[in-house]
Amino acid sequence: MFLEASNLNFSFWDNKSKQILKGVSFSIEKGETLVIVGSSGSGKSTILRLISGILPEKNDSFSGEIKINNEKLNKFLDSGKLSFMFQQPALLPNYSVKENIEIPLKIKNEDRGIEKVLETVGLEQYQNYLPKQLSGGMRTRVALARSFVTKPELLLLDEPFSALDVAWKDALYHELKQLVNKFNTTVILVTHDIEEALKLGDKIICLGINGNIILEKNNINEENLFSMLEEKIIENHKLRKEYEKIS
Amino acid sequence: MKKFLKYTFLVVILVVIWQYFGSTDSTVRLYISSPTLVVDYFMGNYAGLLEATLTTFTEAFLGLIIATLFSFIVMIICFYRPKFLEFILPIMVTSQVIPIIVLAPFFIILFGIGLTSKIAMAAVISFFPIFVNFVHGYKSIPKNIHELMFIYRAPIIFKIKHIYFPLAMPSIMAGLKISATLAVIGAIVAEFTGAKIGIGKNLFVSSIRLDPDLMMTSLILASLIGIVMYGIVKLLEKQYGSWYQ
Repeated sequence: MFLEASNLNFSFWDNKSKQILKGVSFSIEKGETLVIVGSSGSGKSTILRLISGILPEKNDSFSGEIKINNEKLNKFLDSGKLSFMFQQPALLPNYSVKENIEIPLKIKNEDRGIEKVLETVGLEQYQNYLPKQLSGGMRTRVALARSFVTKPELLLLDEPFSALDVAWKDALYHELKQLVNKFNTTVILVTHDIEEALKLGDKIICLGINGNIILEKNNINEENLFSMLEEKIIENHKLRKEYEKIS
Repeated sequence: MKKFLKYTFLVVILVVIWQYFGSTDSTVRLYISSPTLVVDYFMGNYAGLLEATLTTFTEAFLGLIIATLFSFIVMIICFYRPKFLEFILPIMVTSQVIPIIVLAPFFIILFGIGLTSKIAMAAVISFFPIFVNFVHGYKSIPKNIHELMFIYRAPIIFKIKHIYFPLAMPSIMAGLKISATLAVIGAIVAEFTGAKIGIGKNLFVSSIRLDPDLMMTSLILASLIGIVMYGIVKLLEKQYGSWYQ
């Protein structure tokens, strides 16, 4: 098993009564893509932030264990084999496309060519452009290239394609798959787009409003999975509305 | 170019109006002299006036450099010790309730009548806008960039060099532009309190002697210092801030 998360419970320090994650457990094999879906506020991004070490912050309430390669999470995080792609591309506006992609290498003092990554995402002729000169889709491509430049073992994707149109999404799915296969990267993708989840994932978990797993499927090709997920998410959304009304 | 011509035209119009009233109305002449009289005065005393201008410029310029360096040093300490920023920021903001100009006599007592007291005054008055704008720039850096650096385990030196300074640059430059003119005010006010030479001293003398020629010449030269200081900051911004312009 590459990554194993067991019994994750989490709530923020300033609202401990609201449990964001409740007994969440899952595991992923090397090279697999796990997709986490669920309605807004169900704790999808929190899982990524816990795996990346951004959370828990001081005084947050957290219990559970995350192991990677059967070792403690911190050891993996310090090895620099993790990459993260945010919903916003988080590009440095003062740096060109090429410089942005090179940032992780600069931090590690590695002098490696980035031509292959640039070629895969089709950015060769834009490498000297500043982010402000690029469209939203192109910026996401730069962030994608940056995520792969260090050949990460684990890539966390926090709704990186949510702001893009269908044509851009399709092109980026293709590039992502190419890069994942090339580097045999394990991916955890958070999304609220079920179609995207089914296109990119190998296995899927759906989180409910109480921060627990309400559906888990290891076979993404299962019949009626789309409608099953849609139903679960809508049902959960209604539950939340009712809960909000009561409270 | 069109814009430049418009402004030049406006200045010419104002000078013509000033000349007209300055030469036809003795009361106006007594208050604000006239352009031809100012030019005559400057030609007759240019050596002393230029020396005074250079002195005030040196005081303001050195004051601005010291303030900039000091605010950078304080911020670098804050980058290493973020809690220090939380501690120092309220003190800095509260300190602004003291009208800093009242410190001028204190600096004269402390450093004497020479350049040092004026440089100190210019530095103190121009420190706050640079520092506060730097803090604002730092706090405006998107959260996900901080998080990305955390995930990549970027060392603090890398973050200071590649993230904090460059991304706070628009705010740093905004602070420098405010401080560039404040530094001139600081130097001039300190010269009012006591100086051997300087534009501030000339302005002070002109008010005692009721000398409008000296006053207007000094005002124009003080404005020139302000414009040059602002121009230097603009040049720096062109060099380091091209990405956001």
